[in-house]
Amino acid sequence: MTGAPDEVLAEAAGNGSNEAFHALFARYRNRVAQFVRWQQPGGAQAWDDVTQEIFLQVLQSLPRFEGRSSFRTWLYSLARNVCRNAQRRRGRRRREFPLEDPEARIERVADPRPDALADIETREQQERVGRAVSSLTPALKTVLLLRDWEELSYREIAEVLGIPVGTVRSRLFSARLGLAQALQAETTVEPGTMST
Amino acid sequence: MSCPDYELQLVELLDGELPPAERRQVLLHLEQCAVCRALYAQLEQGASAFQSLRPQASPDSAHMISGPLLRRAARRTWSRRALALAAGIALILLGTLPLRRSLHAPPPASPPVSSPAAGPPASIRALCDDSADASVDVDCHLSRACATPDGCQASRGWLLTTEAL
Repeated sequence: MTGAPDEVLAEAAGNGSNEAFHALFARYRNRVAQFVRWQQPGGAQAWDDVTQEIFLQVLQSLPRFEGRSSFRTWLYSLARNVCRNAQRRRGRRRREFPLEDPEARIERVADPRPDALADIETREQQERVGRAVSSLTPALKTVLLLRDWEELSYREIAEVLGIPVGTVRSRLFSARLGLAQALQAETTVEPGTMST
Repeated sequence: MSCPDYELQLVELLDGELPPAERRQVLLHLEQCAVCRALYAQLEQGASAFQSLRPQASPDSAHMISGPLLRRAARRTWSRRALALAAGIALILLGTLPLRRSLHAPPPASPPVSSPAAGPPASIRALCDDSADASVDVDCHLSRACATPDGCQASRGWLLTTEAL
């Protein structure tokens, strides 16, 4: 069941299959958790709480999922609503994250697989990319997540975030270009390559 | 069109979002323009870099929802099942009420054990007072609805329902 399409799992979970819900949870937990971190301010505990709340609402709402949109579009729309409600509850109106320790962010972004940890070269590359990603604004990171991790169409991203398709396109342009430039900057200031 | 006009279309080209006619036009421009080819390569690099960070699924993460999330979900499921069961029992017993009355010609003189106007018993009030637990919402709606004279056909039905809960 773990390899079944999202919509098949969603229907089964909506009919009460715990196995199907666990499969969906396992598939999306990390990505939704990252989405939450880029959507709103807060600490690890707040992010975990919101992520839990999202999956609780998924569990409760799945019987009403009609498949009019893809499961991912439905999931992230629901996630965004939960994030917004959580922000309202906290009475916070800030759109941007407070600055935080880049190393901590890389720990969360990077793939935690043991084999990746063993591969130092891969790890270093991921750290470089993680630092470059952390230089982007949450709005830019969010569209990257929805496009490059979730492979949503521009129209679906616009629907999830409540923004025009043209804004999706311009954010993707800025995000990818910004990421490439940040990576190039990383390379030029690589330790040991700078003259003293 | 000049190069800046193509910038955003390069993103769409990368994502396969361009209509065929525009796609051909942008590809033609890319063949002729080294600046836009370099820009396209940067966009590709940014996309693939971000994709490399895509978290894997967590097959061993079931324990992450075995705590509060599943407990709350289980309580809600139980509440709904209990409601359905209680409603079924109440309907059956209410349906047999006229038959019982016809079998016992003189109705009992003693008042019912409880009446809707008296409000829910202590156990139900305790449930409703526990506002920290969202799972009791459904239970409370039922008891409140039945506690009003209009919400219940008979006090006996209300008592049956609350006992089942």
